[in-house]
Amino acid sequence: MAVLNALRGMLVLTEQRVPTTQVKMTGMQVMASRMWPLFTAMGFLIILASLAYGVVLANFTSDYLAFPREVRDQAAAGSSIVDKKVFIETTKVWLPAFKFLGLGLLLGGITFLLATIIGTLRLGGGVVQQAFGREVVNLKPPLTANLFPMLMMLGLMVLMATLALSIVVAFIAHGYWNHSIANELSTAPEGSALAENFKTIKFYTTWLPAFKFAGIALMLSGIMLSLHTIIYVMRFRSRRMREMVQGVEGPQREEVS
Amino acid sequence: MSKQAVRLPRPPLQTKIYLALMLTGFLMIVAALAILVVVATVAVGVLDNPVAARVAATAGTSLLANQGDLFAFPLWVGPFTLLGIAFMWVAIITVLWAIRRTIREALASSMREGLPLLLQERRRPDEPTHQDRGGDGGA
Repeated sequence: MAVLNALRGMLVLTEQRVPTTQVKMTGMQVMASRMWPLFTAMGFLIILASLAYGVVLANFTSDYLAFPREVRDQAAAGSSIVDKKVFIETTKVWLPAFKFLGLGLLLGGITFLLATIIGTLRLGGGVVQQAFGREVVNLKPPLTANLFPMLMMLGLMVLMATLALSIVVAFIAHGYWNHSIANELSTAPEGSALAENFKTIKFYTTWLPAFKFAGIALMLSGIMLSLHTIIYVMRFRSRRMREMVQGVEGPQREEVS
Repeated sequence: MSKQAVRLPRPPLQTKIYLALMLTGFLMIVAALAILVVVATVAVGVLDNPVAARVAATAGTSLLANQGDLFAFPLWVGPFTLLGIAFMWVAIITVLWAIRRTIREALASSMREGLPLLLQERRRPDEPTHQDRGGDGGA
């Protein structure tokens, strides 16, 4: 409860107004308006590529399982059966992280689009004030507006780190599975390089799935804060409209819960 | 100009609720990550034993219990993580709900009150107003 109250206290926004002569978006908003189609397209392409890879993986798995268990286990390194097993095991390590990176880029596209919407509200509000011959007053970007791009970037970095780690583990998996199951992997003594590699693969593949979800959670938090900023900006626009109607000048600093 | 502040309706309740939902979801995901890091460490401990020892582990030994945990924990931690993500999506829906209420309660009402007056102000003095034409003066 104390954490929640502290977080809520942190997000109590202080409205700081900036009189301005120029009606324009901030630099970050201009950048966001260019980036959102790029992020969305990249995310979508990655998801499509993952689907294609998934189909290939399914074919390889089907081919591999067409052989009897005994033949599969006895197959020697370099044979087509072991090559299939290597492809299956390495792809299973890195493909989920790749898919999540695509999902993360789509969420990044949404975040950038929301930043563009905030910029459009800023621009529209300024244009209306100018049209009615009033002093153009804009908001100094609140805490949430500064925080949400950082959360988005942090989330994306977590997803990229997950993919990078997965690729490293996939290389280890490639080295491990490129052996005969019955003659080398099953008989590998404790402390051997093969046994150590298996431990490393098991260690990383156990917690990496939760790590990529942490990245997605950071990105969703960024989206929430950007939506909160939109509410804040809309309330400022409403107040400014009423001020123009009533002919009163709003305070320079006003607490808004 | 007066320094009097213009009053708006209070911010919607949803702007407070979403924080609790977001924090719950985030903490669940961080907890799932912590649990899986512990499980991964347990896995390394189990794999430190020879295959023969793992197969021959008897009831009541920590080795057998750890092997059980290794299989059992991921089965519920996966759905637990997804529940955390679900909390975050519900939080997003709550903020969108708050946006809808803000549009209706703050922005739309300000527009309804303000636009007719501001438009009247902008109109040339010789131009007939909406009321002059027989309008009711409403928004």
